[in-house]
Amino acid sequence: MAYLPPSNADPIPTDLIVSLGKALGLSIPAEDLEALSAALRDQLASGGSIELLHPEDTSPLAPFDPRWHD
Amino acid sequence: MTDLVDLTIADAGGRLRRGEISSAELTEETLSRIAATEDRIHAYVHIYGDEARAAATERDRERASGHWRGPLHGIPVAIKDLLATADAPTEAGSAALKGTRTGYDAAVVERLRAAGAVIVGKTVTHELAYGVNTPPTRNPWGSDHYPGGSSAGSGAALAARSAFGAIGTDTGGSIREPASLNGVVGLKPTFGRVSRHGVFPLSSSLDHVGPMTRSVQDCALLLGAIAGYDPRDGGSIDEPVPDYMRGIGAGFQGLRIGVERDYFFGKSVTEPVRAAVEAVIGELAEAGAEVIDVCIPELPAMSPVGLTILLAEASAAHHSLLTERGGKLDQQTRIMLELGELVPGTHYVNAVRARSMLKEIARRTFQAHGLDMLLSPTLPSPTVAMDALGVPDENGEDPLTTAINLAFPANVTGLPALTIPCGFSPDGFPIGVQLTGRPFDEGTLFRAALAYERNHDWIDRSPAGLT
Repeated sequence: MAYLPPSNADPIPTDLIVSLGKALGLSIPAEDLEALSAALRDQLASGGSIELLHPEDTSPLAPFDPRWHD
Repeated sequence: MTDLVDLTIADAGGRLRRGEISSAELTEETLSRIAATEDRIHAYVHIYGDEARAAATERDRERASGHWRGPLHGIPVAIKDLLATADAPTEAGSAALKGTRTGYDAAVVERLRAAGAVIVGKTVTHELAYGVNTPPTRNPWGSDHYPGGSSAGSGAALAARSAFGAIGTDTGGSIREPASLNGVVGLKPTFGRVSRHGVFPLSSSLDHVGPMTRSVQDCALLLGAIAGYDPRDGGSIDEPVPDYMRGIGAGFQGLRIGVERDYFFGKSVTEPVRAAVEAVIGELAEAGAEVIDVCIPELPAMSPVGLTILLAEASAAHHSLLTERGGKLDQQTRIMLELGELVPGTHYVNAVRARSMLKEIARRTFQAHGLDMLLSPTLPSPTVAMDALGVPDENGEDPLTTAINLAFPANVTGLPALTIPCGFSPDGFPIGVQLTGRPFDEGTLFRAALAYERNHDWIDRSPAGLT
């Protein structure tokens, strides 16, 4: 898939993608499965390069502003 | 004698104001150019014929009665078909949205109409601006060549002289890529600078709307017309809009320009691009700018962070579209939306946290070196033939799909980034250089870009054989 750098991680089984899709309310066409499996593998592997930055060091984890903006 | 369609906005505006030409003439010439080029370029998805003529006549009547709206008065412009227009469909390049009518104008369209611009058409976009399908638009510099995306039609229309200015959107380079590949100027403004109200969303924290033009001065004029706070856009920032023409001619003297080489000049950057951008650096140094080598080791994280945010936000925005009309989406777009559904929440949160770190790293780099801007190639390569699109180079990479690596830093950090033409490849295709500035400091980018542009004739060149 365009944009995603290829990884050497194990492929994601397509039946797992179908099951996840169903649980999320998606009916993923069979023709998408091969490319989607590779793209998901590459995307999940890219999380490793984000972790190299140690994002856990940032605070707050998710900013929240309780003020009302009327 | 110069054809009217070859004039810049600034030149045409001056002649209009002095009454030397009329908006009706400019608009008719533009519509004629559209008619003469569209069968090869396919820049437009919707053309305003009589509506544009009527608007032009009204602008001429206003001028005759002493009502002058400003530098865009009577100027023919094009709008990416991602922006809502009350009087035409807004289909975002998707069969799934065929015939969609919003019934209202996007904020930028409102501002353009109020500034007196004459909208001549809506331009082709990659589907949902995701940039993964292949629209019919072709590059005027070689009609079997790729025009870039996702603001493909806006870039091609400018190069084909079938609009004087155009609006694009940029989530991961979608203004700067087609601007560079078509040899025109394109600005991704600071996040929050231009309202996205009425713009079909892709990724709400990465989406930007911005101007595309044939000259730097025109880009400044167009930004001045469309910039400003809008409470209807939750990302809009209430920061005063300066007069971008003030100080634009001050030149390079005293500017501090950072150059990062490990990432922005990596192995994917082709030799013609490297040579053209190095020539710009040499010229700036000679002209009085201070060029400073900088090191930003965290830059390789920009694309993974940006892509994770993009995937999750796009799929959250378009869940209904995927579940209800997914069969009408291009397969490539659909797979991206399916993929975003499967991105773990922890990955998204970590990407957002990492983004704030990257923003801080950019701030510290600018502060530590007293930089006014960073300079880099806009893209690793000039355009390629359509049949070579996606074909890996000797590094195993497709130079245009790695283009996002050079573009994403400005989306992830929200910083303004301007691309201007800086030469041509040996086979005659445009090359762009990118200037990335401090938040809300688009004016300094225009100043440096204009000083460079004035020393060259790049913007005077036009594709051969169009008419």
